[in-house]
Amino acid sequence: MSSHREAPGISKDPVADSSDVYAFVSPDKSGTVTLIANYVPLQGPAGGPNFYEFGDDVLYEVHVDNNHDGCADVTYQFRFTTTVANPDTFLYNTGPIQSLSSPNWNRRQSYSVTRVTGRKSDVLGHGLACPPCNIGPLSTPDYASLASAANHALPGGRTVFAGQRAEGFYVDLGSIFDLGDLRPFASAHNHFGLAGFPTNGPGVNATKDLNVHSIAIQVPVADLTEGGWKPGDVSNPKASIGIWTTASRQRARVYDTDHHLYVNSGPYTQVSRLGNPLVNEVLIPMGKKDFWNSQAPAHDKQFAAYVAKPGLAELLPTLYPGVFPNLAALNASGKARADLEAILLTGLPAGVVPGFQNYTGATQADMLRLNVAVKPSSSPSIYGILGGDLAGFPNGRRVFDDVTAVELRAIAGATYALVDKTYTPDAAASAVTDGLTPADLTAPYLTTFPYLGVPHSGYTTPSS
Amino acid sequence: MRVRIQMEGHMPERERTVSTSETLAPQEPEVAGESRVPGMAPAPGAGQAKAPGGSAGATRRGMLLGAAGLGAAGLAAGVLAGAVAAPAHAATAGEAGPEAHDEPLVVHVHDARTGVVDLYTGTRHVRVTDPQLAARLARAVR
Repeated sequence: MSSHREAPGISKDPVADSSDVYAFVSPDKSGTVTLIANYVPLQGPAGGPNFYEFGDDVLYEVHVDNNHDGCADVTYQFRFTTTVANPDTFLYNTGPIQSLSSPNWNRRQSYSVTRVTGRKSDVLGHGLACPPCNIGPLSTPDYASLASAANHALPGGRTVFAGQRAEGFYVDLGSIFDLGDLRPFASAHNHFGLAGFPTNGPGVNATKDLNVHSIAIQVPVADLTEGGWKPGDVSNPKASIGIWTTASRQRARVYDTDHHLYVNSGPYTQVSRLGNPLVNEVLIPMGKKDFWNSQAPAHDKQFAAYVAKPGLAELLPTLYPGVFPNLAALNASGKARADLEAILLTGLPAGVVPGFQNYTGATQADMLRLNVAVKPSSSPSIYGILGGDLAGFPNGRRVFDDVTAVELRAIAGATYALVDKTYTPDAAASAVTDGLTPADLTAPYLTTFPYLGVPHSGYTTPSS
Repeated sequence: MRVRIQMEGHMPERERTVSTSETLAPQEPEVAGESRVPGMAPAPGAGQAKAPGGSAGATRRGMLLGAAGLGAAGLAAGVLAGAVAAPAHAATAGEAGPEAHDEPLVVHVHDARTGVVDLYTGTRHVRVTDPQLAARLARAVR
């Protein structure tokens, strides 16, 4: 998945596992950008009696680099606190929860938001209520309204939400990690010489009916840009910013048998991060994934070789014999994939895609790059820039963007011609997909903040 | 006894160049302490933030408090090798000196041979190089 359980260590620590990051110019509120960081992936909606929540012992952050050095210039920090009204009941709620102040709600979370710029640290809000999880029609009737009440206005025209949402990332995990046996192209797969495999078919959405926990904040563009620059010329370097999220834990953790709880001590240290989707999941080798999670984007030069010569690009011509001959030749040439380096590590400089740039300088850093001067598209393509829509991935990422297809196509060579006009991508490169679209989701996106859909109800959705 | 100590705070280690590395006598007079307010700390993503001047906030008092706490709580709990908790409430008044603090203190003997001992309390990390202390801790768990 985008970054769900993508590294051995973090796969065992779901509350600190960043799964997706979105950043886009808000389509319904001009002059603002929405940043979303998802955690606690792959939630079965019927996950009671201890429903999913953020970690009180985790420091969640969303970072923005606005002067192109791969370091954070603006950071939003989120810290959560869990309170239990009655520890003597096993129930999450003792009756219907019809408001965020309902006395029937036994276990709830609140949080603080702090904006950090350099040495300056401003608490934007505290004691902000998360909504409960979507338990079912009796416990959480009118869930959509209940959750909407958890959209909190913050000073400076900002809005924040933290809580459960429907998983908006669609992906056929089953086929991708079954040795890349993409269902729409199954008949072209070599199947390692084994017989009895089905022919081509539609993708299967592995995240259908699952939930996630989202941290979403909508802020004026000037909150993010260098010197408070306001959107103007797309070509202005100040228009391009880099975004990523991190989760950090204190370094020492001991189980206190007197009080039957964990005691945490020491400085916070980063255990998870995410900028571009699928980078740590697909490009970084197994032995370095947890290390990658601990590093800052500014230090990503050390991982650049895995972007320049991705293992998946080597595999595609083998898995699909005869389908990717030009990619095979490109691989054999030993040339670095300058297209992927640009898309994932530096941004696209001016002149590569007409009328567009999201270049953040020569520092190689895995960040989601957003040109805030590009206006939202009135007819968006889920394939973003590859689909001719400059407001979509890899210019930031909207909730509906098909980042799996975009990155598969890029790795297959579809974007290499951007940097080498003599290269002709294989016909399959611009068609490869896991066979899914937003139509394969069962909870629709919202048209307003926080944009990800109402989470699936535990009562109506079988546990997965 | 002289100990070599290093200290880091809530700034992430990789960014927080441990600039305070010196040799001190534990009972040496100290200067103003540092305040750490969880929730108000500079970006730990700390790692990602531009290093705002190394270990800003790492004061001599903070280091001495850490060293003093280690000797008392660490030994009082009789712990070694691996991360070990020594909750402050476990120490008696006689064991903990006037500088004892009431936050949990975790002691990790990083390298018993060289005497490198890591101390974690609050949002701080203090590294002490003290072969004698490490040896005493080792003896305590035999």
